[in-house]
Amino acid sequence: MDPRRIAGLLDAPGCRRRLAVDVSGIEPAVLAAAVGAAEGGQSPYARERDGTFAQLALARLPELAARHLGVRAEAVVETDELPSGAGLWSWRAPKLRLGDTDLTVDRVLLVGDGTRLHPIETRSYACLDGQADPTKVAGTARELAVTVAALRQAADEPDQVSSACLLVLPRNFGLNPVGTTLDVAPQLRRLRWVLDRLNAGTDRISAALEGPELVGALGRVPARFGDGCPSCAVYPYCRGDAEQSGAAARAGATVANLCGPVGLAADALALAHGDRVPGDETEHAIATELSRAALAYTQAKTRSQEPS
Amino acid sequence: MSLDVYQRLLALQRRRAVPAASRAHRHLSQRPWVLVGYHLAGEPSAPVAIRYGSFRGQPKLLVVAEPRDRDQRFAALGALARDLATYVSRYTETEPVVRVGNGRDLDVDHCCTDAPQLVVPNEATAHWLDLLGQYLRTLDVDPVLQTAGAHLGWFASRRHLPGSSAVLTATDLLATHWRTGQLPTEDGHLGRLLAWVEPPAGQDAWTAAAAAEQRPPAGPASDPEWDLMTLRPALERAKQLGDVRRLKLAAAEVLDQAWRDTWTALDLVALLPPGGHTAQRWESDRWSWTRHRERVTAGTIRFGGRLSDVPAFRFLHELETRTVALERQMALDDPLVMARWLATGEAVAGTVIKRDLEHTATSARGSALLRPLLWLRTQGFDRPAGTELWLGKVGLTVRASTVDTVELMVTSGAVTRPKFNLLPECDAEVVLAPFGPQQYFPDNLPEELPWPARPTRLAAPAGDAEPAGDTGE
Repeated sequence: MDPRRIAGLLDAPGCRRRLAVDVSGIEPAVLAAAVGAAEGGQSPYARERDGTFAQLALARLPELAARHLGVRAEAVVETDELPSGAGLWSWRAPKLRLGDTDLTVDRVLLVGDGTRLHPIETRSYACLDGQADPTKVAGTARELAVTVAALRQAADEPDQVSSACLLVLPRNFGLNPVGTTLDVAPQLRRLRWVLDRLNAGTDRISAALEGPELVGALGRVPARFGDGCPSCAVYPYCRGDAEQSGAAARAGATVANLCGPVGLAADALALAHGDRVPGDETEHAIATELSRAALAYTQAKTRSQEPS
Repeated sequence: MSLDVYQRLLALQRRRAVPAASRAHRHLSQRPWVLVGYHLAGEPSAPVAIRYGSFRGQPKLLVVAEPRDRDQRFAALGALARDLATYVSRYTETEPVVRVGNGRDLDVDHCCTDAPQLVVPNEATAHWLDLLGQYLRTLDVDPVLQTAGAHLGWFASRRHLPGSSAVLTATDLLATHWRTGQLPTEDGHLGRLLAWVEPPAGQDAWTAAAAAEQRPPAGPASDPEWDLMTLRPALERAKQLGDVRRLKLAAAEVLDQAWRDTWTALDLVALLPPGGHTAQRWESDRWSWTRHRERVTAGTIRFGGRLSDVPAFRFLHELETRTVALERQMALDDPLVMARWLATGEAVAGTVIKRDLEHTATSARGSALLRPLLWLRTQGFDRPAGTELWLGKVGLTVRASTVDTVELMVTSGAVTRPKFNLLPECDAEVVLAPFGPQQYFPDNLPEELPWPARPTRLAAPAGDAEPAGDTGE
C-alpha cells in the first residue's frame, strides 16, 4: 500500500469497507477491474515533468538542506537502511511497515542534522509567489505523515525521526526548486486514529478474490457513503450500490447527517410529506425539519409562478 | 439548510435536478467570451489547445504544436491576447453618472455602459486562467501579452467577489439555480451536472450522468489516456512534419463537448427571468471595469501578491458585506430562494386575518405613537417576541405568537396614516422576510486588526534571501 491510500482513509471516516479493502492489501488493478473503475493513470507529460523536476531537485538538495535545516552535506548518499548522524541520504525501495501493513515507497529522501532525521518530499506542483495550492499541500502533508509514522516504526528510537519535513516544489512557472519546512505533527495525530483501526481491522477480505467474488465480499462489509468517497478505489461500486438501494447518503453528507437513522431517501420524503408516521423521537425531529422545508418549497413554487 | 436537503432528496427520488431558483441571479452578457481548453498535464503555463469566442457557431481554435517551446507558446498566447484585446475593446463606451462625491457635492463621473464577461466550464478552468494571467504578467516579450495578463488579472480579482458576474463558471451557474441528488463534489463535473438538469429524453439522471463521465473532460486537465493515445502522436506529427491538422482535429473533437455544454448552461439560465437586483450588482462590475480600464490606459496597473494589514482587512470586509447583500438580494428577488429562510423559520409566510390601524404605543416621553397591529395566520412559527421582520420597507416586531397565529406591531415604514396603503389588506398572503433595507457597514478600521488580516510575524526564513529575478523559467 502506498502512503496515498492510507492517507485517503482520513477522507472517509467511519467507512469499514474502505478500511477493509486497505487492510486486506487487495491489488489496485484487480479491484479496479472488479468494480469497473476507469483505469487511473498519469499523463505521460505529467510523468516526464515529475521525473525532470525530481532530478533537478535532487541536484539542488544539499543547497536547500543547508538553507532550511542548516545541514551541510556534499551530496546525496545512497543507503539501504535507516541512517543516523548528519548528511543527506536516498533510501531506495525501503522496507517499511505500518502496523502489519507493508508500505510501498519508491524512495525516501532523508536529511539528518546529527540528532534527528527529516524526510524530504519533492512534488511538481508550483509554488507561486511563495504560495502553493493549499489543497495539494494538505494532501502532501497527510502522505508525509504516513511516511514519518512508518519511519518511526522502523527506527530504534521513534524520536529519531522528526515530523518537520522539507517540501521541495518548483518555483513559479519554471522548474527551479524552492524548499520549505512543513511540520506534519497535526497530521500524525490524526493518523493515529486511522492506524489504531488499521491494526484492529476486523473486516478482512481475502486478497486472492477476483471479479464477482471480490464484489460479493465487498458487499458484505458495511460502507458509509459520503463526500470523501470519489477518492476511493471502491467508489464506482459504492455509488452504484447507493443508487440501487435509494440511500439518502447518495446526495452527500449534509443530507445523510440530517436524515440520521432514516437511511432511504424515499422514507425521508415520506416523513416530510406526512405519508409515514414517525416511529420515535429522532424520526419526529427529522419529520418536523423536513416537512417545514417541504411546505416552504411547495408554497414558494406557487409564488414563483406569479409575476413579481 | 434543511431546504437544500429536501431539494436534494426530491432530486434523488425524481432522478432529475429540481429548481432551486426561479430567477436568473447572475447577469448574462449579450456577448460573453467563452473559453474552454486544455493545458499540458502539470503545466498551467503551457496551453495545448484552447477553444474560445463570443459566438457558439464560430469558435476559434488555438493549438500549440510544441507547448514547451517558448516561442511557439508565446505566438499562440499572442493570438489569444490579441483576440481578448479586440473583445474587451468593445467595452470602452462610457456614460456620465452623477454621484455624491466628497463633501456632499455632486460629481459627474463616467462609467462604462457595459463590461466584458468571461464564461468558462468549471472552477478549475477559471483558476487556470488566473494562473495564465499571472504568467503573462511576468513575461517581458510583448506588451500585448502583458495587457492580456492585466485583463485576466481583473477577471481573477472579480471572480472571488460574491455577486460579481464578470466571470461565470457553467458549473456554478447550474448549481446556483438547480439542486441535484449527487455528491456536491460531483456537481463540479459539468457533464454530470448538466445530465441532472437536462437529461436526454427517456433517460434518468443516473444513466445520463454515467454517460457524461465517459465523455472527454471539460478541462483544463485532459484525460491521461487521451494524452498518451491521441495527443502524443498528434504533437509528434506536428513537431516533425509541421502538420497541425491532426492536432487540430483531435483538439476540436475533445473540446467540442465542453464548448457545447458551457453554452447550454448559459441557455438554461437565460430562460429564467432576471432577478430584480442583478442589474444593480452588474453595475458594480461595470464600475470596477471602468477603473481597471483607466489604470490599463494610464499604465498604472499593479497586481500585488498576498494582501496583509489594512488591504487584507478591507478585502475581508468587502467579502462579508457582499455575502450578506447577495443573500438578501437573492431572497428578495426570488421566492424559491426565500423558501430557505421560511424552511429555517427565520421568515414567515401567512395570511393577514386582522388589522388594527388605530393601535398606539406610548413613547418614553409619554406621547402616543401610532403603531398599527397585524395578525397573521401561519404554521409553526417558533421565534420569540421581539423578533424583527420586514415586508419590503415596512418593519414589524413580533409581539406574541401561538401555534398558528402571530401578532405583529408595525415599528417603521408605515407608522403615519398616509403610508397605511403600504400595509397588506385582510386576507392578503404575505411573506415577512428577515431582511430590511440594504445594510451598509462602514469599513472603519478597528483599533486592532482581526487576526486574518494581521501580517504573519514569523521569523523570516533564510529562503527570503533568494534572488528574486528568476521568475518564469
